[in-house]
Amino acid sequence: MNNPRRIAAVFTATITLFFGCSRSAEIPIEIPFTPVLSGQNVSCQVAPSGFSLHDLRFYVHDVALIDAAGVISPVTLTPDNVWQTEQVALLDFENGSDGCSEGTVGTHGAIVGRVKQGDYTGLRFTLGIPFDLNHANPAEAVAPLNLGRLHWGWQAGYKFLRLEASASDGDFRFHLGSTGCEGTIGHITSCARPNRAVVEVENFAPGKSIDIDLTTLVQTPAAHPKENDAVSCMSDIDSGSCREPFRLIGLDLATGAALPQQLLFKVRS
Amino acid sequence: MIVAALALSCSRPEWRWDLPKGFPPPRVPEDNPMSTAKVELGRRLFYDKRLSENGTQACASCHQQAKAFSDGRVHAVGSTGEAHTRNSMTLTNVAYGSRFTWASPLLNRLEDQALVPMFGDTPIELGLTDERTLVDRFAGDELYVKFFSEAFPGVEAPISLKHITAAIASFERTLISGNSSYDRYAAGDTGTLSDSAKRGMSLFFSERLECFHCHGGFNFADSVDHAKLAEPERAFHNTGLYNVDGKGAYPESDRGLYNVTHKLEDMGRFKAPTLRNVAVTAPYMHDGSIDTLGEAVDHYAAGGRTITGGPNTGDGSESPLKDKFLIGFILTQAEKEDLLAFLTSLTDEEFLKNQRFSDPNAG
Repeated sequence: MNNPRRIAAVFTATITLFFGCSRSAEIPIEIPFTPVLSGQNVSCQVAPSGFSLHDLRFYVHDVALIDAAGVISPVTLTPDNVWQTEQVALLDFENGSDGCSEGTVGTHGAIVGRVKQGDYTGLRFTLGIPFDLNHANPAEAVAPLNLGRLHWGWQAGYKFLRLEASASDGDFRFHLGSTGCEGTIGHITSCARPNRAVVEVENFAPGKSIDIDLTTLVQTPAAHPKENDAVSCMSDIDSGSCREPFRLIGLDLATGAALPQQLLFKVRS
Repeated sequence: MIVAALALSCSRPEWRWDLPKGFPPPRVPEDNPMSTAKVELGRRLFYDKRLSENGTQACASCHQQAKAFSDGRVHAVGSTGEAHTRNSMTLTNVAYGSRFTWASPLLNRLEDQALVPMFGDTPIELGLTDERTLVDRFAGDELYVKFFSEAFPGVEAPISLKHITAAIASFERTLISGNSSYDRYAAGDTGTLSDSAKRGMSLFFSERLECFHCHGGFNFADSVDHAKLAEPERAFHNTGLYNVDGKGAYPESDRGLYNVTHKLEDMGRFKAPTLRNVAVTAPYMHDGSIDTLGEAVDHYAAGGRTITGGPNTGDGSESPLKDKFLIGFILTQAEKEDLLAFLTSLTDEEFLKNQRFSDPNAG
């Protein structure tokens, strides 16, 4: 029983089985995102005439793939000390120059992780930051939660999404985050409106990429009820500017609850 | 016995408050104890324009000592030229604030409040974008490397965002003002207040005017915290400045506490700022919409403001949301002058000139 060789052999077999199994079952996955407007790719340098992008950054968590039977397989995010922790990833499409001079140089256009091998037909993620991380002390946060411009001091949390652009219809600013929070910063107990959109994208399979379709979103200035030349939605429930952005991203403006449908993210065809 | 004495001497901080008579010690966050080195670093940072992305503004740009750390403007203007919707607040006795900014129920630490002007973007104030840019600026400056390592000894990375806000907060906590003519009078030096100011003092503390309900206590404010309070006091008030819909609404540009809570009862509620040094912090109110102290008194005498014409037309005195103490009162011209004399006696000239609070690089 105590034969060292035998123990070693069993040990080796166990290790092989263990890693062998997980290796064959899990595959690396990269899910690229591309901002588009009227069917064209958009970046800080390149955009259709009359439009310029100034900032597009958003946080995601609870990323998962869904198969035809509706079984949900979580994607384990790969931490990289810059864009992703195990819990949350920042997608960043601004480069700190060209039309996006107020941001940072680095960009990060894809969710990177691992997922169980499967026959997937859909993607799901939550746009935002989990409650505990969202309300922790920002001065002690680690990347990607240490970007001051994405912290929302007066709301005691983060901007889940920061989208700034100018279109021929007017300027467009959309800052999304939890509102109506109670407690004090670092000790927030609850938020009346969480504003975490649960995004589901159909017809997704590993290898495909996601379009962030800004077309309808940035045309909202024209539809703005106040005839204002700017749309500025700071997640304010009374703001006419917020109605359309919230509907498109799949959030109930009044309650901050996720709606079953969103119209912003689509599989690239 | 010996162990206890040792333990006490070890935990005793090097910092000693030099407080005016009747002032309790401020409540200091446990993770940011006061120290001379930290205060000195914070003072340098407070006056350093590298705190703005484009190097044009420091904290001190909108918080000027001669104006009791306010700026004299109707609305503050940020480093990129963007105007704020709000008036720069005085930092007089900010150590005793229980909540910061004009109307935030959430910000209760100066360390966190500092992040709002540093990184905020609606509007842009100092316009910083990320921590690394800021840290790199000071990491390349030998003098600052020394100051940071003295302020945060034995720490692997002394220069960090956390330490920058900790140092600025420590400096701000030293901005204590309690040596006005009124204070010297209250301490027994009866010659420091004019008869007019004394009559004004009686009016101020009267049930007829009700001023002291919101501007009460040693700091003439009611959102107050200090080390001897069991828990912080917080209060916000609607003073009937606006009533644009007959139901008490404030203009959409700034609705005070309601902006954060979206509760109807919070519409138009703002913090009652300290009245210490109030004579040098004009213009007044959260939006700087009242030019002079005399007009501010008129506003309270009317029990709310009536605006005739323009988008903000409405009678604030009829607002269903205005504070119950905003009852209005009638003052003779002489009484008004007495009240103004009292309010002016709250100016602390020493505070406005104290070298310990001034720009370390100036003269």
